[in-house]
Amino acid sequence: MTISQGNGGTTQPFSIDDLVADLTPVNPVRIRDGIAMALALTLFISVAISFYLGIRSGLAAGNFETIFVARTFALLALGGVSAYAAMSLARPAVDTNLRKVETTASRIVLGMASVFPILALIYFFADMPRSSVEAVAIFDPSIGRECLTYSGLSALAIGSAITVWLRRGAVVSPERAGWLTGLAAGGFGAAAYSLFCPMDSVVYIGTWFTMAVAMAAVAGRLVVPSLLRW
Amino acid sequence: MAANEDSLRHLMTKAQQGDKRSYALLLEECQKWLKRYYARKIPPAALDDLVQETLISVHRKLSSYDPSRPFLPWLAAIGRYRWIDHLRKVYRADETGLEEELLADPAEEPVSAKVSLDKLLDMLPEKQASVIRMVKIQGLSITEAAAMTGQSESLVKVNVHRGIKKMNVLVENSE
Repeated sequence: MTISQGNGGTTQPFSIDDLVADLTPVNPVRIRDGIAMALALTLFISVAISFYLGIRSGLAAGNFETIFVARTFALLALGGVSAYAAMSLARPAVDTNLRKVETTASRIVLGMASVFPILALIYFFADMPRSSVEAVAIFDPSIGRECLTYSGLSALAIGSAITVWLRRGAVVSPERAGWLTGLAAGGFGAAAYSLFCPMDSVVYIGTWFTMAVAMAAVAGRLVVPSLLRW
Repeated sequence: MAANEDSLRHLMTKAQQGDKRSYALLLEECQKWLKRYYARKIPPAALDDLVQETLISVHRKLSSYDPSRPFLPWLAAIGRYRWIDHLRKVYRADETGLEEELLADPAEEPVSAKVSLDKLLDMLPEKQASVIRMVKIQGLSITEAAAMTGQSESLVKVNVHRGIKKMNVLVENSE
């Protein structure tokens, strides 16, 4: 009898001796390895997008706009914290303190995810006449299509990689892990596209980048849990 | 004598490195621990099967254990996941009438397992327990549950959410 050490497979006739005979050395899943993998993939995708679309004007000359730095940092931080929270669910334990840490991490993730939409709303209402004109152009779907497409495709690749990593572990909260995986993939995917994105409007970022992250989160919630059950 | 936390953690660390002797000892201890863990949760007839399923899960998920953390909370998390999965299967079988096909072990397991879940539901306020039964067990829609209980649809959702959260805490505190 062969009993695979991983997801999948069906319950088979049982004997402890069979399990012992089937033992092979395993490397414990380590969150830092998972985060490193996600960051490396994000970097790779950023480079690929830069080759394909180019990079923001001025970036090559070292001209870092504050809004660009803030956007990229916020998206990377959102991706990193979400990925950490998702990957911590792959190492289960009945532990009240650990549960509190996981809950706190999830709240931090939600707080971070809401930064740009809230800023965009404040900006929009604080400078209504100008931002209204700006918004008409910004809400034109043709403007945001590229952001959604590239952020979404990047998120798909990163989310798939995180899901494969999570399947090595033993996720006992698949729904929560699905949300967090989607948010992580959305954050990293949008960060990868951010290197190219020439738009610096807070309303634009609050609309299209938020939408890209939100769509990735919903997709994660819908698709990932069934892949993580064991 | 039951093995203590430190020795179990040591055995698990060796098992992750491929030490079969340590692994055999570890699985024996896990088997004893799981039998005690499940004894008050499920009927005796289902005990051996669930222990075996859990040991296979332990085997498949060896890499999810972090050697820097205590072992028993990890084993308890694996055990609880399998237990909840077991209850879900029993309820599903009950709902679809599959239990009628279990001729070798007529109805004892579903009934007893339901008792475990019913015990948890009995510990909730009636408004929460009733909507959980309707929505999560009987498969009614939120709208149907709202119509039957007189609660608004949003209140049904809130009560289901709060009730399940409370049940999680009750299960956790029962470790």
